[in-house]
Amino acid sequence: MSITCEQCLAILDTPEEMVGEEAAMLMRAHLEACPSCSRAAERLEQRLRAFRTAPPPEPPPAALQRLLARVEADRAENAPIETARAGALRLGADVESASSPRAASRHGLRPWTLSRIFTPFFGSAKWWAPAIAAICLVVWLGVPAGGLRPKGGESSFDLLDVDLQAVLVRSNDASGGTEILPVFEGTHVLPGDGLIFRFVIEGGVHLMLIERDPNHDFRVIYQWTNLGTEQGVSRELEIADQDGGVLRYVPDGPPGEYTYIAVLAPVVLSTEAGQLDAIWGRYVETELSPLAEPAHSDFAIDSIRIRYLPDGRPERDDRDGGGMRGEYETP
Amino acid sequence: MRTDQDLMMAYQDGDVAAFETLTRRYWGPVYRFLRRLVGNDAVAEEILSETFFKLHRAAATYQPRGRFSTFLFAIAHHKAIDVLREARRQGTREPLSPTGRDGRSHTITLESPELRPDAKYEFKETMQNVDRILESLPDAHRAAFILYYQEELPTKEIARVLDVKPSSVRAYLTHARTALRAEISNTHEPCATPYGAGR
Repeated sequence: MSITCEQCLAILDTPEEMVGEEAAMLMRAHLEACPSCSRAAERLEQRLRAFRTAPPPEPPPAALQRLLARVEADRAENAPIETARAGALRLGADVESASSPRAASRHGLRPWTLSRIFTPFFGSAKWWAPAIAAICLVVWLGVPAGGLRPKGGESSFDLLDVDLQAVLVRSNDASGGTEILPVFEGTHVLPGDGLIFRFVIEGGVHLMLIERDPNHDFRVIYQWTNLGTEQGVSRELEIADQDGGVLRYVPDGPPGEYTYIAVLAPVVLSTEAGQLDAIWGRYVETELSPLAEPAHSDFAIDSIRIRYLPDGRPERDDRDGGGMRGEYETP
Repeated sequence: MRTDQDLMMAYQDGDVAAFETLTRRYWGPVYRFLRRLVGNDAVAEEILSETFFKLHRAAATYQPRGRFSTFLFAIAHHKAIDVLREARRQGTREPLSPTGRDGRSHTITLESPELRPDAKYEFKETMQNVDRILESLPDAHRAAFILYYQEELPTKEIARVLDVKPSSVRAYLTHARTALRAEISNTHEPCATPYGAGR
């Protein structure tokens, strides 16, 4: 039995460990008789050998020292690593102790402070500080999105008991360090896993979905402002009407434990310091369900941009219970 | 010698020296992977540092579910791809070339005393060809090739690093090998043997 040049090259292109003994034998026989294929094989082998044996440059030792110094500084600044092993807080944990930054550190978690989360998005503390009673609602659901990766049961998605009530966030103090109750627990997410967040919301609300990745970095992955009178203001959230919708999201960080917290927060529209008006959202129901449609789409994460009215003072809209109405858009 | 996973668990328990040991163990391999993936010394060094810093941050939640090297290379790969995408988006991606952006020689040091001068020249030319070919590959294909032939990771582990199916890794490797011999296949002469009849 013999093979053609085309078949020989096909075998040649296959990594060695994946070539069966019979195919290898046929290829060797062909190479012995075919100078052209033999030359191709020799050149390929020469290039592979060169690649394997070329001594690559080593990183400068100073880079290692800088890294170790940076890690040491980070350790000193943040929670001791020795207490950080899988430090998941659960809803059943003692609320008072869990809401303490020190307690959070004992659990290996950096505290979820309002300043830590909100300041990058809303500016200085004066804009969010009066958001005394943000309603924190943990919602999460993970479903391996069909077609993205093999379903091997490697990810676990635990539906929390979402009977959260409203979690009171204490008023801000002079240090600007009011913490949000760190209600979360680890959910192991692998790259490509799709998450579904389904919101049912009544009334005007500013929704923020915050992700805490395996490296304990926080970021707002989604924001949506619903004033209770508008429809279809979000492209990402598939909104049936103004009462909520479904958000599909695929984490793009490293494998590991992700935590999501949905914050239904008042929106501060005033541009004047000390003047605070808010639109209050009221949580009605959170429904988490498996992804019914396995199709996957990439959803860009846009932010809500809030424009202020020309005179800097948003007009009142009493239909929302005393909240404010301003211009807003999803860029 | 303590295993990687032992060292990570020790670091979770506060053993700082364990992290340093682990870092020193993988500092070179991860750099080589990144250097060949992004094609630039300075960028590779920056990603390298970020990778190990992320490792430090991730130590708290690390669980020894698989090979540590897979976990680490996955972080490095993820960061490198981010950088490559951003560079490509901004149109600043520089090709993998014998001389990097910083002017330092890429990959090849021809100091091996056993090589004759003509052999050194041939080796250098070969590596330049290899670099050029690898540069032309998609990022995932190049990453798979480096992990397979340089770090000698099995395809299953590479699949985990790249977050693709093992069959995809095999396809990437096949494509890379095809590319490596494609340049010479342009001059492939008609086979003079009866075996070439079906070609």
